[in-house]
Amino acid sequence: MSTNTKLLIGALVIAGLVGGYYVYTKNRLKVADPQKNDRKVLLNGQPSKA
Amino acid sequence: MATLNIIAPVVSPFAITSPTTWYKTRDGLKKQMEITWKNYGEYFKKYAETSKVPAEVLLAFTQVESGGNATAGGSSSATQGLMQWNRNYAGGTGNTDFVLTREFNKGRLSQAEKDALAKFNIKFDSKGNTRSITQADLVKPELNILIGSIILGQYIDETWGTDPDGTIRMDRIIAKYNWGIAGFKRNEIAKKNLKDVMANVPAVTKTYIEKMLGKNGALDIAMNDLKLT
Repeated sequence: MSTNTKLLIGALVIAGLVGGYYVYTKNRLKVADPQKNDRKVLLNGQPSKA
Repeated sequence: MATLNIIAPVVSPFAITSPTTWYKTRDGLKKQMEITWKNYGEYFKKYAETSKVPAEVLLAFTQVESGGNATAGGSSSATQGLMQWNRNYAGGTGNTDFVLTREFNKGRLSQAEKDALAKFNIKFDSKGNTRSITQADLVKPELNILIGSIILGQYIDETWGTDPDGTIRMDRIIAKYNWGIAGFKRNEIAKKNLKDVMANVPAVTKTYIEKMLGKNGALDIAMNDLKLT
């Protein structure tokens, strides 16, 4: 395997890790952000009866 | 839209059961919760709508905290009232960690919530300061449920309040709500799984978790037995 191929594979792995971390943190909730109007809470997978 | 989920009764990784010393039978607790709903269901529904915390959760907390007694705790207690939150941390001037100040400064308060608070003469300056929350405020059922719903909404939205898969960590939320911030922080409850939460909280908080999340507990009954109409 050539050096360039190894570098390319390494770059792709790093890009994958960075991308995965970005998606994880983007989906992770943040402390008391103004998101409650974008939050839907289910109860055992079902909507509230009230 | 983030879709989150509360699981009750908890059966994994181990089953939890509500203590029979609280209400001897499932039906006994159900009847009491029906009374609490009849008395305050209007407010549970109204503030479930504004806080996006289900009415079942607000009802269950109220049942465990006060049994639906609006003056529970006594007039010398800073946590008197239906949901037993502490008035010294709810609102006032000069502390950005006050519940209402934080909600305001984070841009989370809806106009409906501001209007509802204004009915009780609780208004905000540009820094999110309010008047102090008084003992008389604690025993006003509507205001007590309104502020309780805001507290629970904040806890749900903390990073530790919900797992990455969207499961709301009611065990941790109950631990902080019941035990307070000092013990919660000191014992790193925010990082613990259910088993370790149960093992690291005081007995009273452990029992509280069982009353809320256990089989025959308040959430089990609110979610599965009550009609809530």
